[in-house]
Amino acid sequence: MSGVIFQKILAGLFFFCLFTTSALAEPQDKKILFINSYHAGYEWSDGIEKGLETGLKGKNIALEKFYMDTKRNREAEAIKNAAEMARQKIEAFRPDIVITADDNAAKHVIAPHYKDSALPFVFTGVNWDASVYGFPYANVTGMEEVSLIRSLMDNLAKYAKGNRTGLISIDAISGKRNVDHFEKELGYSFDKVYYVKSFDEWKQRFEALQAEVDIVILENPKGITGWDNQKGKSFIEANTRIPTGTTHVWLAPYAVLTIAKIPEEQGMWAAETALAILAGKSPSEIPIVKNQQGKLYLNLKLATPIDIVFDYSMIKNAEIIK
Amino acid sequence: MKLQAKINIFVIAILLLLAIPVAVSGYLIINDIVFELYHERYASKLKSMSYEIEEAYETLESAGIVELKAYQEGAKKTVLSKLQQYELEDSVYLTVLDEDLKVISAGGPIGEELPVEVIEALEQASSGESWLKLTGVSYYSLFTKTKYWDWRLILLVDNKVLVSKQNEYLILVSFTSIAVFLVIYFISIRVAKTYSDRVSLIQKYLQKMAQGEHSLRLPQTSMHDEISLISEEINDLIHQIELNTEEIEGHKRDLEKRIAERTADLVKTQEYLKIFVNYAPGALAMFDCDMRYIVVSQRWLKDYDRVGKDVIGMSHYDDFPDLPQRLKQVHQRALAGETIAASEDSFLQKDGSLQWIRWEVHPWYEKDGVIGGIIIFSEDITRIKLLEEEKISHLLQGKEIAEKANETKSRFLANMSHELRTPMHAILSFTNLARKRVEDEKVINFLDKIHTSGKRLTHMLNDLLDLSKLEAGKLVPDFRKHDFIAVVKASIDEIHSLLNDKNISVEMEYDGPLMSCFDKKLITQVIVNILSNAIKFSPENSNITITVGNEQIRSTEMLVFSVIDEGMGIPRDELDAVFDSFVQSTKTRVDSGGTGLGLPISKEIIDLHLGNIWAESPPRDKVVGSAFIFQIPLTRNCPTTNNSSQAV
Repeated sequence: MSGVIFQKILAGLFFFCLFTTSALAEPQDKKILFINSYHAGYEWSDGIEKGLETGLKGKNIALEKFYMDTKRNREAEAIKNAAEMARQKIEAFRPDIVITADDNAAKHVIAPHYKDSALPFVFTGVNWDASVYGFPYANVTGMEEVSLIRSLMDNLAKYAKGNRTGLISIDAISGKRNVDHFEKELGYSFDKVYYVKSFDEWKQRFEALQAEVDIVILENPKGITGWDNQKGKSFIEANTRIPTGTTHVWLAPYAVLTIAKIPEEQGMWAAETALAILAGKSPSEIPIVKNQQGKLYLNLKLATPIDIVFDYSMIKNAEIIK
Repeated sequence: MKLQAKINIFVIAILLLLAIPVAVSGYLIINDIVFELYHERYASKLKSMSYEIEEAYETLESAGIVELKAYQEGAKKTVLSKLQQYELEDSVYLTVLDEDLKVISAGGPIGEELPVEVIEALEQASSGESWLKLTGVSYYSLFTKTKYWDWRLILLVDNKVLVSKQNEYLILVSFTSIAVFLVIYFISIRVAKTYSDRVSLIQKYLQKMAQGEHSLRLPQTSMHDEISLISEEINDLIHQIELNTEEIEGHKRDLEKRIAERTADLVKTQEYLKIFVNYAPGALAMFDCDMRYIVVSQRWLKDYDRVGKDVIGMSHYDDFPDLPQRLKQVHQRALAGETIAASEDSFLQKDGSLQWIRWEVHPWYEKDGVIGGIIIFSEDITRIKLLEEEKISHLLQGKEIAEKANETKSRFLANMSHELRTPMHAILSFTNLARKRVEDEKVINFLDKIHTSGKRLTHMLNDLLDLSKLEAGKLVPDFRKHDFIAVVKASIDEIHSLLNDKNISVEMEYDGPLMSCFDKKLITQVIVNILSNAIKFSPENSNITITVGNEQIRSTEMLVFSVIDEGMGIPRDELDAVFDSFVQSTKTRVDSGGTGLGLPISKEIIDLHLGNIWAESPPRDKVVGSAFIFQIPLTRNCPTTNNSSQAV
C-alpha cells in the first residue's frame, strides 16, 4: 500500500518538475516595439517608457525601442524620415505588438501605414482626443492624455470664497486650444480668460484676476516674451490673494495647488493592454481611455499667507512646496 | 473473552488514558493561548493607533507646518476621527485623553470624567496593562502614551469577551476532541472487528482441516496484510503437508519393502552364518562378557568332544573346568580389548601326548563400540606339527650331506687343480723345450698349439681354483690402505702389451690419489679382468675410457670405477647373466678364448668388498660399446684382519 502511495508521489513530483521546468525554460517568443515620438532623456516620454518597462518586467517579453526624435527635429521632412525609419524598424523587427508614445508616432506611423492592419498598436500620450487621427482602428487602442482640470477645480473650490473662475494663458493657438479642452472637460466656461503675450501683460492680468474671480487657473506661460522665473515667483508670492491652480508640474511653485498628470500611468496601462492583446484579446475589444491619476502639489508658501489650511488628508498625500 | 472484546477494552482504555491528560492540558493551554491572543490583538491595535498619531505629527513636521495650530488641530481631528472608526468588538472600548488627561474621546464605562481607578493606573505607569473594575465590571485594560502630543490611549476589554472566547475555544476543542476520539474509537473497533472476524474464520477453517478436511483452503482476500499472508502461508503449509504426507506414504511403502528385503537378507545371512559356523574348518566359539557360549561351530564341538552337547548359554569355564589359568588370563585380556594369538601352543593330553593348537582370541563389539565378549578361534595343528618336525629332520640331514658334498667338491677341486697343474707345468715346460729343438715347421706348429692349449687349461684351472675358494668362503681378503689410482695405473701397465697389439688408447679420468682400504691383489685381479675383456672386445685403434671417482650413495661414500669400451656391446637381456659362471655373451662367445669365469670371480671379489658390480650396454650417453662398473666402500680405516689372504 505504502509503495503505491510512494510511487504516486514520485509520479506527481516528476510531472510537477516537468511542468515547472518547461515553464521556466520558455523562450522570449513575444516581441514588443516601443516607438517614442521624442528622444531618450525627454522627461515626459521617459516617464511613459519607465512605466512600460515596469509593466513588462518579468513577463518574458523582448522589448525593442525606437526614438523618432521629433521634439528636437520638428521639420516636416525630419518627421517624415523618422516615421519611415520607424516603419522600417517595424518590418525588420516584426514585433507582435507596437506601443507608441505621443502624437507624432500616432500621426505619422500608425495612421498612414497601419490602419486596420494585422499588427496591433497601443498608443499613449495623444493629447486630449485621439479621434483626430481616426482612432480607434480595429488594430489600435490606447490612452488619451488629458489634464486633470476637473479634479483641480473641485479641490480649489473647497478653499475659494466664491465660484467665479478665471484663467490666464499665452496668446497662441495651443493656449486657446487648451482652454477649449478645459471648458469641454469641465462642461462650463471660465468667467474670465486672459491671453497674454508678455510678462508684464501677464502680471497685469494676474493681478486683475485676483479681484475679478475667486479661482485662477494658470496655463503654460512658455513663449511669453520677457518671462522671468524668479521675478514671476516673487510676483506671485506678493500678489496671490485667492486660490490659484495649475495642471503643469513645472508651474507648481507659482500656484497654490497643482494636480499634474503622471506619465508612468500611461506606460503601465500600455503594458497591461499589450499583454492582454498578446494573451488573445483584440484591440477592438479594449476601449480608448483617458489618464486618471494625478500628483498633488501644495504650495504652503502661497497658501498660508492667504489663510488656506489644507485638509490633513491632502497634506498627507501631497508633495509640499515650502 | 474474545479477541475483539479485548481490543475494544484496550482501545477504550487507551482513549480514556489519552483523553484525560489531553483535556486538562488542552484547557490550560487554551486559556493561555486565548489570553495571549487577545493581548497581542489589542496591543497591536493600540500600537497601530499610536502609529496613526505619530504619522500625522511627522507628516506635519515634514511639511513644516507642525507648529501651525490650524494644521495641528485639523490633523488631530482627522486622527481622532480615524481612531474612533477603528473596528472594535462589542464590550471593547477606546478612550483617548489629551495631554491634560482630559477625555477627548470617551468609550464604555469611562465618561467625560476619568474614574479614579484609571487615574491610579495611569499614575503607576504611563503605558502597560492591568485589570480594572469599573462599575462592578472587570475589564482587562491596555493603555499607552503617544510619542507626540502626549495623548493617552486606553483600551478596555470586558472580561466576558475573554471568557466567551475561551468558552468558544473550549467547546470547539472539546467537541473536536470527542469527535476525533469517537472516530478513532469506531475506526479501531471496525478494524479490530474486521481482523477478529478474519482470525475467527481462519480458526474455523483450521478446526475443519484438523478434522480431516484437508482439501479445504482458506479464502483469499484482496487485502495484502499480515493476516492475508498468514492465510497464504497456511494454505501453502497445508499443500506442503499434503505433499509431505504423500511422500511419507511413499517412503513408508518403500521402507516396508526394504524391511522385508532386509529381513529376508537377514534370514539368509543367519542361514549362511549357521552354515558357516557349522562347516567352518576351524573351531569357532563366540562368548559374552561372562564367557557364556553364544555361538559355537560344529568343528569346536567335534574338536573338543562336545558333539551333541548343548553348550549355548553355558559358561566356558564350566565346560572346561581344567582350563589353564594362563588361558583365562588371555580371555580377560581379550575382554579388555586386546587381540592375542598363538601360532602354536602345546597341551599335555591325558595320555601323555602333546596336542598342538593354533589359536586366536579377539574381542567383539556391540554397535555402540562396547566390547560384547570374545571370539575364540582354534585349530588343532598336531598333525601338521608332526609333519613339519619330520620334514625338518629330513632337511637337516640333507643339509649335512650337501655340506659334506660341497666340502668334498672343494677339496676335490683344490686337489684336482693342484694335481692337474703339476702335469700341466710339465707339459708346458717340455713343450717349450721341444719347440726349441725341433725345426720342422709343422711340428713347431703342433707344439705351439699344445702350448697354447696348455696355458689356457692352466688359466682355467687357476680360475676354477679361485672360484672354488671364493664360493667356499675360504678366501679372506687382506684389507690394507692403498692408493686406488696407483693400483689402476699398475693394472694398465700389466696389460700394456695387449693394448699395443690392437693400438688401443686408454684415457683415464680421475681427480688425484684416492686412498682406501681394499685387497690390492684381488682388486687388481678385477681391474685386469675388466680391462682385458674391454681390450679383447674392442676394435683396433679404438679408445677405452677409465673413470675413477668417489660418490655418496645412501650415506656411504663409495669408490666408483668404470671401464667403457667401443666394442660390439652386450645384449641387454644378457647384462646380468655375464656374471654367472661359465656364461659368456652370445656376441663374444665365439673366439673369445675365455673361460667364462673372469666376471663371476670379479663379482665374488667385489661382494667380498661389500660392493656392487654391473654392466651397461651401451654405456650411458653412448650408442656403442659396453661399460663395466664397480663400487666398493671408500674406507680409510682398515678393519683388523690377519694378513693372510689364503685362509683355506
